[in-house]
Amino acid sequence: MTLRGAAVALTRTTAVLLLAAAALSDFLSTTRPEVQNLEMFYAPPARIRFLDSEGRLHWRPFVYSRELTDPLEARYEERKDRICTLEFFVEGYPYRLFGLLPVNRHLIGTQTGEAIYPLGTDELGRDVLARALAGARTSLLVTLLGIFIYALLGTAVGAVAGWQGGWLDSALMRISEFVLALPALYLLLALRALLPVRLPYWQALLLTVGTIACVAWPPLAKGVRGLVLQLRSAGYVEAARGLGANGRQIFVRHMLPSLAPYALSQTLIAAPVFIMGEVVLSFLDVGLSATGSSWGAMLKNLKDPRVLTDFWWNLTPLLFIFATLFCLNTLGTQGKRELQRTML
Amino acid sequence: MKALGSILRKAAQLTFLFLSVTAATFLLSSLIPGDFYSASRLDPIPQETIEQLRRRHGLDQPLHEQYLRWLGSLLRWDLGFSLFYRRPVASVVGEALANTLWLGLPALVIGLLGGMLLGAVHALVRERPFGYGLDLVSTLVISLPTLLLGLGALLLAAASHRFPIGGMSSWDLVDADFGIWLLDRMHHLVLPGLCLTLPILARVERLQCAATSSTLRRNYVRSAMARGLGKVRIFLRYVLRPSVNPVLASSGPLFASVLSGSLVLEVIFSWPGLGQATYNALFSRDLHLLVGCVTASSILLVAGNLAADLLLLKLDPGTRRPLEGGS
Repeated sequence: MTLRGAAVALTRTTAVLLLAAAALSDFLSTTRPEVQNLEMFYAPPARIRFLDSEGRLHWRPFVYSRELTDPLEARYEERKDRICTLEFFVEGYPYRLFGLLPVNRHLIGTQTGEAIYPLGTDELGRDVLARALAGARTSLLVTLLGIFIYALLGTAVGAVAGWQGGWLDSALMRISEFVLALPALYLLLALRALLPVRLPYWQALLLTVGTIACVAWPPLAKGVRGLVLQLRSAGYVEAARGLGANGRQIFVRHMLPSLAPYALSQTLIAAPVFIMGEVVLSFLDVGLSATGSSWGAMLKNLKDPRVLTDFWWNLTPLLFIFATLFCLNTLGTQGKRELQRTML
Repeated sequence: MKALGSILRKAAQLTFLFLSVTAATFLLSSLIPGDFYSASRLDPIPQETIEQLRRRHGLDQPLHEQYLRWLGSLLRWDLGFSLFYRRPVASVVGEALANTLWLGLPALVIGLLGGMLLGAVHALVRERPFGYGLDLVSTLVISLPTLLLGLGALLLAAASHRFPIGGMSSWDLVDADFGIWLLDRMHHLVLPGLCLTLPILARVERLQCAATSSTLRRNYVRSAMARGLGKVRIFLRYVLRPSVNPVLASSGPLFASVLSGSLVLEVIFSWPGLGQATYNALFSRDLHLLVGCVTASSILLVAGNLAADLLLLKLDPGTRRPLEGGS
């Protein structure tokens, strides 16, 4: 019991932290996620220090400014004479908080405006931390948008099939069996490869989510259809029909409330599909283009073992992916348990 | 007879499925602008030569004629010619399919059997520390997607130098004895195989645990206990047997996840399987190879589902009732 309580608390904390990371990504990062710095490609994470090279204690943490010494091996050397003191709530690049409020304060930064790269940089010298945080926003958008389309599509198809019956029902069910029999990822690759590789961020996001939803809906539709078939002969639905309610009234007033818990819990269970779908597509070079920050796109250079071992800090998105999936899975299990309790 | 009828119906559905999958792939690939020759980045070839090559491979024909020609040659077991690999598609796909199965089948078998075993044990010890431990581990593992495991395993292999970082076998062991060859193959299989097995194992474990613990609460189990039957006998014959059925019934999506998981792993570990072939076919616009790969993977998927259905039909008498109309 206490273990479960601890797990719930852990899940909630992680979920809140991830949501905060997604919402406040600009406030938390020190550099713009898309800004390249070719003098600082594959720079390792900065070491945050209190003691300087002469052994003096600084009361504020600082980093040494770094210089590229070997461009072939991507080696950097700290300039011991150039100390960049870290400060809280410093002024940095301007952004819009929650997409609305124009501000330029950041949680951590240097007074001089020098980039610190707390988690290192990638092959183009972009800040890994900033990109991972922006990637959290992308994943959040993908999930929200994805489960919305998924719930809408699955419920609509299932409800129409169960309600109408007849040829429409069997046609819809054949189509859903057809989609289920397709190897989803192969189909996703084929669908996504139809479209131009370089697309604006928003279009690419919508298309990626849309294609995943097109492949993912059948299980929900089947479940909803089964429930609608059951509900059609339920006493209160027949009573409503006897009282002269029309189809829409019956569906919206009498069936939807019973369908909603099932549809919601199924939707929660499907959320990881969207996150991983986007990550895998971007990893395989057919998801979001290089300009938009996405966890999958950040990982795609790591297929090369040399890059993986020498520049391991680029694995940061894996941590975010794991935390997100952990939250969603735990929430999904909880949702299923709640559902069973209400259905019994 | 009922079972035969449902098998026949399945066969008809499969034929329809095969036709629609291949037609859909042809249609989709025609929507992609360009073809193999406009996508290849070879040295500039004179336009006339390209036109000649297109004519020779039938790329200048309208789409439906290409499709019908493809279907016709399929009857002679000719799946066309892969322009990317410069070999017949049948041999490319056959080889890739065998390689994917080499990776996927052990993962599937170990994942299913191991998951069922662990899940059943988990249901018995649910309220004990071991059960809580299993709960925690399975929750963690289920949140580790194949991509994550694959990159982690690649890092392990590259940093420790104890495992190969890709491929199916060492290039210098082409004509070694069978024993050494097999050992080398196994050595290459360990890491990608483990990455594919773990998520399946965790998912099956959870399904089996839920099914077993709901069976344990059934009245007939309680009455068997009241009759004083042995614990082991009750568990094996009264609990385990029926609780396997729901797990098998929902194992269909597992095949899909093995296929998509192996695509990611094949790209990470440069495994010459179906996923890699599809990837190459897509990016080089090799139409016949693409159709071959998508068809092979959907056949694999459908065959897996069918096998699970048949097994369920054999194991679970409840599914042998005549089918209700509609589904």
